[in-house]
Amino acid sequence: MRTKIITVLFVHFLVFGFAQENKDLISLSFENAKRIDVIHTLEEKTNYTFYFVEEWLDQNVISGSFRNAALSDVLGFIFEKTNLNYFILNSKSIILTQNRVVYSELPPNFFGKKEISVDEEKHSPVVNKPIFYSKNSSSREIETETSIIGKENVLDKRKMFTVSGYVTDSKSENTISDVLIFVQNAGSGTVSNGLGYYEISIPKGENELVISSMGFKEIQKKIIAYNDGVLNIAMTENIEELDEVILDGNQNSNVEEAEMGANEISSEETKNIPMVMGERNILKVATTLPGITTAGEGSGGFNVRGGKTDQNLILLDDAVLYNPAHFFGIFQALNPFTTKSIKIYKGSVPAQFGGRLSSVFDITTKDANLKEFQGEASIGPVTNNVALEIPLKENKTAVMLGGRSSYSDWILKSLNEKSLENSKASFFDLVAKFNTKIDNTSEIRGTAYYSKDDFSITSDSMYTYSNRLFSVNWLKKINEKNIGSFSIFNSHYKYNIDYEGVGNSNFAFYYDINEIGLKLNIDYLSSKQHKINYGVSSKKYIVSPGNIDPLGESSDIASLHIAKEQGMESAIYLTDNYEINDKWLVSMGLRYSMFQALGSASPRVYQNNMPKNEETIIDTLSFGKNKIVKNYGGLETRLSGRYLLNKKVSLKMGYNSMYQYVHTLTNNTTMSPIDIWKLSDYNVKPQQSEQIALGIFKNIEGNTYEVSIEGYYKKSKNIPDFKTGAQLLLNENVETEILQGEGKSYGVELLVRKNQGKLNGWIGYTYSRSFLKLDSDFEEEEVNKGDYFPSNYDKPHNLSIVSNLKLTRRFSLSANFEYQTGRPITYPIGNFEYQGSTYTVYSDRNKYRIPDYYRLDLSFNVEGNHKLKKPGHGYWNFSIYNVLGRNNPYAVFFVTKDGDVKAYKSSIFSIPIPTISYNIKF
Amino acid sequence: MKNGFLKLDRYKKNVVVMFALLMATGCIEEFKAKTESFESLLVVEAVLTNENKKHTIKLSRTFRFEEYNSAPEQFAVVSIKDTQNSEYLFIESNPGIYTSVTEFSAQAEVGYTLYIETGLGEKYISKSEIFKNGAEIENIYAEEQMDEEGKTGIGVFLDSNDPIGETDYYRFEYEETYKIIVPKWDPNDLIISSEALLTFTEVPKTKEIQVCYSTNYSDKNILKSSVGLNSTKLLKTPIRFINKEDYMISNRYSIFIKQYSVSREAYTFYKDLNDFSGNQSLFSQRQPGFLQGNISSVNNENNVIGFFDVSSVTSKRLFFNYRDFFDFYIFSYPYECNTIQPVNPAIIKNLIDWGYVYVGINYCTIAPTIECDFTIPQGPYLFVSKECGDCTVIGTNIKPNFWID
Repeated sequence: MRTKIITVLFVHFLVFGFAQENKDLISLSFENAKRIDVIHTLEEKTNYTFYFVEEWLDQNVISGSFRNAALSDVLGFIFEKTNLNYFILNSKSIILTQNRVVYSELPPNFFGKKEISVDEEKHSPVVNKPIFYSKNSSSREIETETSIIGKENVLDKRKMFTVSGYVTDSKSENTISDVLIFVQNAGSGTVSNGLGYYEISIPKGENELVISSMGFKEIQKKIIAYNDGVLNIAMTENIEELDEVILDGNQNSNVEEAEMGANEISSEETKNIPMVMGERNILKVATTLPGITTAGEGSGGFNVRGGKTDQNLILLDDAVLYNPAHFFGIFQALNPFTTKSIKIYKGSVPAQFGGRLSSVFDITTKDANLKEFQGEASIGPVTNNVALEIPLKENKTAVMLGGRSSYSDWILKSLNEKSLENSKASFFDLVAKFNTKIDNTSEIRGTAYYSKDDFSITSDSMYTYSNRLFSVNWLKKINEKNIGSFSIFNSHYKYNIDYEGVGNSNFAFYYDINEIGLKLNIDYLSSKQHKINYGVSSKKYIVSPGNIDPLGESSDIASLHIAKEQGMESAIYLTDNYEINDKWLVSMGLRYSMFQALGSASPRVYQNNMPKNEETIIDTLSFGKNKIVKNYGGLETRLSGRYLLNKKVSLKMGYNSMYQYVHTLTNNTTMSPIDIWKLSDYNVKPQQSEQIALGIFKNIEGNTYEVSIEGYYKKSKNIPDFKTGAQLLLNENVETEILQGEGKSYGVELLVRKNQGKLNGWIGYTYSRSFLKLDSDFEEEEVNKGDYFPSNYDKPHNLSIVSNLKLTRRFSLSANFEYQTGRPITYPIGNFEYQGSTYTVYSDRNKYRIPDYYRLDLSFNVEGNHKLKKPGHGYWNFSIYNVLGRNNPYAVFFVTKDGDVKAYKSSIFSIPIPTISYNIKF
Repeated sequence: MKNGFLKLDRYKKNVVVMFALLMATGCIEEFKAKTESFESLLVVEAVLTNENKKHTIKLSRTFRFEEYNSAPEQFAVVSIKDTQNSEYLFIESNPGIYTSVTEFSAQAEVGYTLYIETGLGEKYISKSEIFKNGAEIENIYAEEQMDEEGKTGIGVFLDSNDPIGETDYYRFEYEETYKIIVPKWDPNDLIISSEALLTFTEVPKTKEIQVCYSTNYSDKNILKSSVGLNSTKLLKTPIRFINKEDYMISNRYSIFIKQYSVSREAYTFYKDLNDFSGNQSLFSQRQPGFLQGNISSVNNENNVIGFFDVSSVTSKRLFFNYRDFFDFYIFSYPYECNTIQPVNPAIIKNLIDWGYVYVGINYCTIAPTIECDFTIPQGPYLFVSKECGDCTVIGTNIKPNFWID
């Protein structure tokens, strides 16, 4: 074999010092010949022997004809479109090298005599500074793979080259988006897009790359760049190791991206975090991040930066998920095995999202493995769960199926408690995701999801709620600069209440909201400096606000179907991520959103500036089907900027304005599954908000530690609230019960994350306040005399510590600690006697607080052994929730019982809850 | 506002139970509430009906958690004026209780307004409330029933009929009276005939202590709405449920139900009152707030609690016996009753002095049977504690006028 390794070559080069150009003339012609054959012909015709590795030559054919041509011209022609360089060593040998030019002389500064000044370099003719490297130059012990990019061209004087390629999962062959490719020596980086494609400019020569993505093993790679080129990266899943990074460890993205208040959590990596009954709950993990809270353990929904629970846009593969929780918010309605990650935007929401004021929870489902069948199953005390990944056509098409169901019903029944005989509580969720590669430039993904909860407490009533959604997304790389994505989505949320008691008033009640929409989103890499994202989206809502029908023959309930509400929400948006210079990066987004309340409808017109009630009606209008009842809309500004103080510290600022056209109606203090979603209409205005934020981001020791401090101030208006004792269900004129007030919130969020090492995790601390104001000239529309009062979820101090200690490769310990100021409650100002009973009297809302909340959870995790050839990979989790057994009050309320007032406080998890669960991956 | 929708709130209480067991961890516990900030407000209880009688209005003040009762609002000037220019004066008959000077009744389609001026000169006025004729009680009946917790008992139900179709909202009150029979009784009393010798003599009882009657009043508003019903009848409204083992129904029981046909505003007021003071869900609490009635301060200075309720009332009474429903008599009495038979005369004297009730001669000392337990000392007389032998401890020995045996 006439092969030599490159390092040997390098030695040759030093020995021979310079090369001689052979002036022999050659005549040669070939047609559709492989390069290898041309080389053999040349060897036969001349005395030269070629030294090379056969694999370097591709199977492409070339044609050419030379008459008395110089050898160098012939060789130049042969190797023109390859990454090979040739070196005519002497009259006998020609050495082919990959990528590099073998220099015939040493560069002027090779022995370090003097440094080349910039000027000198500019003037230095012909010969470029060669790139030398030795395999041992890495100071790290980690063996890194070296790749060589492009073919060196002596005449190319560019100092930066563009490297691009696709990132794929080595196992499933799926492309991976959001992978960070970071050039350590240059301190620059990029992230792969939705097709797994990336493009980065890197300095000429040797570079150290770190490629990382959640759930995958980090890759350290050396590349030597000679020219523009392609580098495809395959990543392997990180299942064999105990996870240490829980939050996305996108290196330096913390510092470098322009967006603020954004976090990502992967489902896989939340598995060590101790949770109630061992149920992995990525949404609860989200609440340990600064700025995201819940009203309490048993309440559904999130309050993001002092916003209401209806102000979060929860998307599952592009479609809205109305209720992401099972069992009153205690368990997530997402299958942890099929869920890939959650991206949360609470500050600068990209212009492509809109319609909710506080945040976006962008949940993505995993792509199924395209290569081999794979599965995961778990058994826990509350649910069992199975997820399967089935390739349908190898390397092209696969489907993922996930199913999860509770057996709490069984638990209830097995309790043998007579009072619970008629009680029921059960839930399940199903998910299917289909992904197919049409060709190298386009992929289609489809998701179908269904979740359902049933509960009945008394023998006479039954509650059911369900989510159903579909989405199809077509991702297409139009060309190197444009990537388009087109989605169609449909979501449906519904609940039923069936009442079957004695008497003639048995009924079946149901509510549902249905939305169908589409979105076209285009990423346009205009230039290195401008990355543009634009698109349009539109969706239609159909809401049945309340329907009641008699249940059974003896029922005298009259059917009542409150008129359907319809609306169209559309938006057009454009964002330019503009890198002004090394220091400044700004993201300028504009979104124009609009909403049309559509008929048929017959809204009432009330006197201006008067309370809306029966007495102030001046007219009733009538609109036909699909006629526009009212138009709302406005320009939303999404502006954020980053200023790099140095490579590791940046300053960011942002301004955001938003509109929201759907609202929940509830007169409870916390969210419940039977809240009503209502569209803006003739009388109910859209909610609006504006937020400004400022933050400092710093990385320490690479990105081992990430520190950020963010401050924000938010103002909102037309926030719906209700008159005391409002009747919201089956109210045809619900606007008479609604008050629309102002909101104000502000806070400072501190997050310290340790991403690497045996001990990792994060500490988040938030100081924040959230207020509402319901002011009016009329007492009946005022709350707390029209002054600002703390909202139900105003919790000034909030501290969370999430940590994981890796003991060995198989064992790890995790601990969570949570501290929060108690939430505000409305406390009585006295008692009174009325008709023989004592009652409490309330006055100002939310003047008092329940005691502070704190909780510690621990878990111990054991990974199965790491033998390569075994049928499955097991994982045990032993956890104790609320180790301290703290009886955290959730609510305080006063009940009149047998004529007297009794004060109660309730708590959800008042004792430590130990759990064992077992997962298996096969 | 659907009738059945009152039921929506029902899941609240029971979720607590379910969840507590499901997770075996959640809990609701009672605590002693403290007053955090206190506002003294006037409380007005005023119901004007179509009954021709001296109507009463009760005025009181709100009170702290640390206090047990409300203070009456005394020395106020109270009157009702109607739209036909009649004025009805009320005078304070008991502290805080104001009774009309004359008998009168509310008349159809007439508006009534309540005026109050307190001793300190604060003036309050109600909205004008128009009296409307209301629905009739068609029937009240009792049925054997199972409650939500699966316990058997007697349910009392009511059917209303509203031929005019004007009544949408109902409020019910009840008054229940039951017969009490003490478990042990003897026609004679035992008296001390000689303090010195410690001798005792039987004399015939002079006071009725074997059979008594006791009356309870409903302590919460029972509300029902017929909005959304096709029928003019409101059937089988549950008014009362009494457990099979409850002593109240172990003999004869009577319930008197008053049905008020109330306005929508009054209904909303009572419903809010119930909601704010009712059981709450473990997961979600009703947002409480100030309960605004139809009475306000003339100068808008002070808040006032209460609703001037002008409504039509009808009533009906029902009797039933335990034996009407159950064959097997479950012995029940509010107290556990054991007889004692002291040997020592000094102790017998003490028992008489302490009010123990004599229930007869101990036959075990005269003509023993196998039922006599001689492992314990057997004295000559049998006694029970006062609450077991004297029904006036828990009721009245005066038979109510309405009582039919």
